[in-house]
Amino acid sequence: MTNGTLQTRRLGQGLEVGSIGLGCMGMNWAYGATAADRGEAIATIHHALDRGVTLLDTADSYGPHTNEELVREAIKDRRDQVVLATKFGIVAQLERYQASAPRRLTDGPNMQKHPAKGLYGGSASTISISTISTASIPIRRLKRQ
Amino acid sequence: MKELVEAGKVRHIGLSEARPDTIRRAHAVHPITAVQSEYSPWSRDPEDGVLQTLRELGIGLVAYSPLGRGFLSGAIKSVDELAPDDYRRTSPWFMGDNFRRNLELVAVFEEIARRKGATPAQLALAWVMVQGENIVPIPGTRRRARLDENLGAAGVDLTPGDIEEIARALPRAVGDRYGEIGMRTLNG
Repeated sequence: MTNGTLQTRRLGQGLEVGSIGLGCMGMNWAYGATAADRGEAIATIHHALDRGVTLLDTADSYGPHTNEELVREAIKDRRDQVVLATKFGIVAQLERYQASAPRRLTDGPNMQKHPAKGLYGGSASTISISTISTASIPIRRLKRQ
Repeated sequence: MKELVEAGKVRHIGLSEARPDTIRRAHAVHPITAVQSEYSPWSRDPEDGVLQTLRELGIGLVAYSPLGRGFLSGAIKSVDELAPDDYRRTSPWFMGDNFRRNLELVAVFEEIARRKGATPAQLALAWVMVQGENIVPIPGTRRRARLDENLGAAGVDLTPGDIEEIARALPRAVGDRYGEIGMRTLNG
């Protein structure tokens, strides 16, 4: 099974994805990666797409921001092959959980800012609220800003 | 989030670590495509209502940490192997006596995998995938060789007997999934 492509599975009412996805968080955050790992990490994403993986998972909070940027670099020429899932509303910084009362995701500026701005644009924080809820938005063929 | 779909910013909506009534409320506002929650042979919280809700509503489960943060792959034998800034050093599964006890569980899991002719990572992924056609695991790796190993799980067929054996032999991981603050982010 080192060759051949994956079968697909359906999420919800019609999102077809390769039956195994690829979690990208650890490629440059949380799991001990160093700058020296970047080349192989991007090669791994390319190899995954070659093998029939289509679902790539990232989040604004991973890095923060830098994980989305790594994924952007990897898929910039292969965007149509990718079902890209990202998330917002997760605030990674410990002190933010402690400093702020939980709020609803729809409160404040969070919803007015593009949740995946880091993918195709500015490096400014897109997340400015704390919450005990989390939410994710699988994004496909995100329009460039 | 519905407005983001209508504006063409996103194609599908998901939730992460949401509880059943939250999923139902969100699904009533706009169809939810997937819920992403932790699910692996030794971390099975979605079985407490979430999976049933997803099946009923036709929603997918994106299973994160299907390899138990890498632990179930058998690749981690000592916390000292982890980088100083590796987040797992702060995870209850990896701390103190919990680590030693979880390592014993991994050894049990590795033995089952060996008898199946699979790697432990492949066994973990095959286990997740056989729990439902609406489940897609997202194992992480930054190495092509590990990716190939993970995709090999698609060729591992588990019998009902295999599932029973894993259920008998492998209890839940020792320790909470996250530290105290992280645990408060679950089931929102």
